[in-house]
Amino acid sequence: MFFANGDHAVTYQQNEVIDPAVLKRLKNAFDTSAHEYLTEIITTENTLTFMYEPIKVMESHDTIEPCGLVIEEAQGFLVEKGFLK
Amino acid sequence: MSLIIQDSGLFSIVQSLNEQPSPEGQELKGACDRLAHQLANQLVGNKKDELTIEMTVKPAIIKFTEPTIIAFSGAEFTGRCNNQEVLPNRIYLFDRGDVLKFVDTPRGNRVYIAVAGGIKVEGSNILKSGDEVIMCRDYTFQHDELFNMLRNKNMVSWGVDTYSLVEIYLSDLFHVVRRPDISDEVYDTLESTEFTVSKEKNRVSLHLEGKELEADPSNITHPGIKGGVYVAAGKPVLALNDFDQPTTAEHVGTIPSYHMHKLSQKRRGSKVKFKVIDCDDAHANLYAQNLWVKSLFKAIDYRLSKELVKEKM
Repeated sequence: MFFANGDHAVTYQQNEVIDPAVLKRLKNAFDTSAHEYLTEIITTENTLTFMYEPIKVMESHDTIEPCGLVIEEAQGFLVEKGFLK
Repeated sequence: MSLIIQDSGLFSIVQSLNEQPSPEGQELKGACDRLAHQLANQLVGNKKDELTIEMTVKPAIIKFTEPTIIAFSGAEFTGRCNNQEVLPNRIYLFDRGDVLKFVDTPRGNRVYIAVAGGIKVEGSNILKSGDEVIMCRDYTFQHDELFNMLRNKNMVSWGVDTYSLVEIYLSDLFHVVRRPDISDEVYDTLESTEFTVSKEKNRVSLHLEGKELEADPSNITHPGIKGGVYVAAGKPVLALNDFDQPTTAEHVGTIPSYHMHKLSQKRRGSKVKFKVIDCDDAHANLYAQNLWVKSLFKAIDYRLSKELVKEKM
């Protein structure tokens, strides 16, 4: 499940514990690749949280509803890295 | 030359606007009240992300060792120096030997003092009595003009009035962005209860007392996110700036960034109420506040330029 975690973060959450090796791989992949709006990834054993700057997204897309765009980018990253299908 | 911290008060720390890589022995994790940090810097003509001194509950006593332009913002503390009342959100010039003390306030928690030209510290950024804060003296042309203007009268006759900031700070109502997996009953209790701050873990969390919240246990480890509303033993715990560890306390929502200025000014005994909103509403409010802050800073720049031009004529 993806949800808006306040106005600066979106979080992917699952009930099953995520393998620590997978968390490490995702964090490394995030830190070494370029992102349009995502600025940081914070991981726990059940969650992946992506931080972003909402005003930047709003101004780039002339919208006051940036959350969908950010979730799309986060989801795309997780699919690209083979974590989500 | 430097600022001498004669008495460090309850907790005084040299702080950055955003979290940034810190020299050894320092933790620059960002100002709790980002608006006050930026406002103080804006008033003295600094870049908004210059370091300030963040002082909590009982501010420090500061001695100046050379002519120094300062402004402070945040909680409603007033200061005294040479029998002169020193007000928040105004610009002052102090001279060598002057000592600035603050008078306790029943409202607010944190005050941010900015120094024209910037400051830095060596060693720990947590200030102790007797410490020195180094003045960087990165003066711009505007700073030079400000010094000239304040030479005759040590304060500017205008400032940002309290009523301008009322919308930001005065209310006890905090928005919480809802999660899709939390029951309406939890949100009903959250919205219908007036909570009281029972304690603060400095810069980490505010603990509230009030009607018990019955959040279903999820066995999820949640991230520590600034503004996060967690439930521990039926009581809400609100994450402040330095709450960055994972937690198994239930997460029921997150306070948007535009209410974090106000939250960081709550202290033990303060009242807190909640309104649960959707993310889209939070973003609309954030955008509105962002526009308001930009216009406030532009107004300060305009007023300052006008004053400097008047001085030259």
